[in-house]
Amino acid sequence: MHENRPVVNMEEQDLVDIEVTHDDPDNLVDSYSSGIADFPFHRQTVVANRLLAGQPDTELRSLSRVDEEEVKLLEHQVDAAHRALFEMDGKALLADEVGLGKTIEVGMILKEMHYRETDDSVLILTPAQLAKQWQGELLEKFGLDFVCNYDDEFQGFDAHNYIIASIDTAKSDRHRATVLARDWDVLVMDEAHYVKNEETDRYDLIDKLTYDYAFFLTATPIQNELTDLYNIVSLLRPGLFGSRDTFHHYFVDNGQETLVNRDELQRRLGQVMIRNRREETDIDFTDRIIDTRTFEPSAAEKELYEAVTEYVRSAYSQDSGQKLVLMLLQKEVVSSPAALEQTILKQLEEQNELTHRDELETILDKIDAIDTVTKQERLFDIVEEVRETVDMGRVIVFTQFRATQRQVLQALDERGYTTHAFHGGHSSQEKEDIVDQFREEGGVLVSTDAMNEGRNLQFCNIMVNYDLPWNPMKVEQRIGRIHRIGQKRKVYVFNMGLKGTIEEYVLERLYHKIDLFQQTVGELSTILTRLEDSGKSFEDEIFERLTNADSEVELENDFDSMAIDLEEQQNLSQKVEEFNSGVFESFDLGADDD
Amino acid sequence: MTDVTHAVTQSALEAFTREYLNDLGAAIRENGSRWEVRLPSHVNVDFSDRHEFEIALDGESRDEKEESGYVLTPESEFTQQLLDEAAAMATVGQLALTDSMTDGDYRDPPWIVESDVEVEDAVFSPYYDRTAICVFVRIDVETVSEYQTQFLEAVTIDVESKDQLPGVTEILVEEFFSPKSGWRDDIPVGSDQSGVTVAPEELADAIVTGQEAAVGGIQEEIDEIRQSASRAADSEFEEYRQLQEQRINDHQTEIDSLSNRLQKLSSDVDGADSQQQRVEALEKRQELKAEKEDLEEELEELLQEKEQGYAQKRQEIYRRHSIEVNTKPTAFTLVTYERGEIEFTVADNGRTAVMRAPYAIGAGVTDEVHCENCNTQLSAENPISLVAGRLGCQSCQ
Repeated sequence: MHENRPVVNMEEQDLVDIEVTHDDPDNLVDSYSSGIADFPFHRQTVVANRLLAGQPDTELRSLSRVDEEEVKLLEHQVDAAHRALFEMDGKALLADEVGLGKTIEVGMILKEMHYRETDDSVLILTPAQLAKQWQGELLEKFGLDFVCNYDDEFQGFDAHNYIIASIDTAKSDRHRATVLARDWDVLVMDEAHYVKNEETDRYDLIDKLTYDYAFFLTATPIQNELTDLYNIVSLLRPGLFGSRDTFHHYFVDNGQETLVNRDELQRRLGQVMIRNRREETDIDFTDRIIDTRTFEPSAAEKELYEAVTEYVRSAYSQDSGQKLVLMLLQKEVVSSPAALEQTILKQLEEQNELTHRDELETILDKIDAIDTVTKQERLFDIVEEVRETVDMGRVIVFTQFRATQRQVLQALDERGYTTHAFHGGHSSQEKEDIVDQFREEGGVLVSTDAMNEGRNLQFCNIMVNYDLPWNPMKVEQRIGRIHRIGQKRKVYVFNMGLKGTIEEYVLERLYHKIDLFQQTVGELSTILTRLEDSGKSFEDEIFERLTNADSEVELENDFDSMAIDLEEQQNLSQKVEEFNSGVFESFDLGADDD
Repeated sequence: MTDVTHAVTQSALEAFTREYLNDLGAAIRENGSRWEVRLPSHVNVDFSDRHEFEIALDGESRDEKEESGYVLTPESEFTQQLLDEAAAMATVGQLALTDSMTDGDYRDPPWIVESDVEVEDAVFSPYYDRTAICVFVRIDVETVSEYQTQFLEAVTIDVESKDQLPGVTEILVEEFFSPKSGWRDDIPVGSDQSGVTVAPEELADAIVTGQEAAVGGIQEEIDEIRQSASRAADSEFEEYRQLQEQRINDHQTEIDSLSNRLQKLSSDVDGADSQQQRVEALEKRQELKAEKEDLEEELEELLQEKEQGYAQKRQEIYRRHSIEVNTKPTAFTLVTYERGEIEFTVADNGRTAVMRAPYAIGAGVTDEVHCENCNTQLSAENPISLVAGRLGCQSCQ
């Protein structure tokens, strides 16, 4: 029955129509005519109606508070958050395949717990390289404000209630006692497979931590052997698999190292583990087209580059304590003379007793000798191409340095292009306005890496890496600003590099080797986490190789071996992925279809 | 109208189920988180085909091998069945609000509440009974961009005057229809104590009035949903517009490139070495020409659409995002309530005076009251005052 009576239309400009229909009360009038029920039964009917209309207490009540401008929640993510909270009593292993948004699932869970006020203290442990990224995402997408152990304001694990920290910081002698002394409400552990080994300090830390709720994330619960699964699950639900021996006897065929009694294993795993598969979700990315352009530097630029590299090498060999500033110089010289100049002037001003004053001054002279900045000239080509082919000529140019940004903006302005600047110095309202203006007016947006994750830039599909961060995660983040769910067009990524410089090595020997520019979201973090786990930081590796090589040939060889290392990690992580897919293939650990 | 949705908490569910089963005449043995239930043999229910069964109060305590049990938790299937069954069981009820139920607890009108006087005593004299219905209206608000939102509003309407009686709704919801606080069964309620009858048309009119009022009660929520649906429509339209602009550009580029190729083919035709080459070039030219014409035609359509501001698409998108509000009366309670006169004895600084006003049980003071002294209407803004034992109002004293 759905007879509609009076239809009311309240049309107003720019608002969608509202149509109100009232079901006829005939049924109720008929019930009345056939006799009124005893009051106790009527009371039950009214109460039942009240409860039917009410929200069950196991709904994601904070869902409506998630800003859809900032994050587009996918169905499998909402399902995972719901199951982890309400069906698994807040202790779950989120084991989606790579790239399905496990961070989003945890964000949703934490937001809900925040809404229900069950999150007085939350500790998120991540690999070092991902800590800041977690912090940014939780803030931008879910409005959750965490302190990170790399922040200046971080004062220890007993000083804040919402902390993101690298697991190695947490287990260090300095912090371990305070981490363990607290009763945490919620523990989140990213890349949980790194605690698989029960004999490590990491495992020991998690095992001794006190917490009420825990969410572990990994795309590959099994790294080497099936015991890994036992170890991780036992941290979450001690006793679910019984003792280690029982697990082995019952679920592992020792001869084959394969899983047996799969139905029972699936039933038990289903109580604690959620695994969504890519093919079952509606995630679909458009194509990405990479155009890497390297240019011959002018003679003056070449001379400057060589002088800076030489200076960095000799200064570093004398005083490795200056590493950060030297690394900065090496990055700036390929970004822009302006960026380099600023740092050198600052160096000269700040340190009166500088041993390398003469060399620095020579470098300044060489900067002065540069008339035309090659990269800048070549940028015009790209911007011009874009203007001719794309609606409103929208393109985002990324650089790491404010000075470069200023120089590029000035050059573009002089040529009459519409430009927009975006950097970390703007307030969030200003940032929003800048993005809006860019959307409306088109032209070129020149941005530093302060462009944060949440910004909605799908309306633009072309970006330029004017210079290249040595941290591949940052490159991925840049691309992720425009190549994300909701992007309907092909995405074009232009990389600019100067021939014969460190940039060319990083670009061609490293990034192209691991196919960085084509990595789907999440794949890269897996590779890098593996690398980090072997005790290496990407930026340091690059710098060390650059400064230690005695000849160009040696440098090339060094970079080649680093590339081989990376490829190896990549292959390994792919193998582990495939292995996990195989193991869990016949398992249904995802959301229900109904 | 009052929002009467009730959160489905475990304790509310348990209270409801216990009472419901008791009313059906069941014997319940509560044993921790399990209840053993035995229904009388003459009672048939939809939720169970057995007369003896177990209810587990959480999913875990149910023994999985034992299939005779039900799980009573906020989202369990059994809960849903039970609630569905109860919600349709007795949709029409009746009760009488009488002076004896209020324990002398009368509702002071705003013109007393906001005044400096105190009520020392109040005496109600019932003159006659009036009839109202408290109707429970389920409202569904639906739009493509949001989850469907459901509301349950209660509205009490005087059957004759169609006035709303929010005070009566409040008493009913709080005293009689709260899942946890058991209703006081010493209160005389039921179908046989008043003998009131209401004509079906009159009843239908009152219910419809209640439905309309219920929508008014959630106007703010509807407005909010409308704003966000409009934003969703807006951004969908903007996306479409940008896509079309892009297509226009793409078409233009493609046409330009075809023109160039055609030009080149023309010179190929002219400069062909052999007849075969010439024929091939001509064929190619024809093919490209057709392709170009198709593109031009499409471009023309795109440009026309653009000129009209994509009005048709806009309308289509807005229509798709429009909001549907549907109301359905799910139950009502026929309420007889006493009307008469109330006599307030008010005091200020030791002096007292008496004030009379038309009054109804549950509804409070029903009509406008004017100042005895200056005849100005009394209200929260113009409360009564007592100066030297003389009653007046703020306007005249």
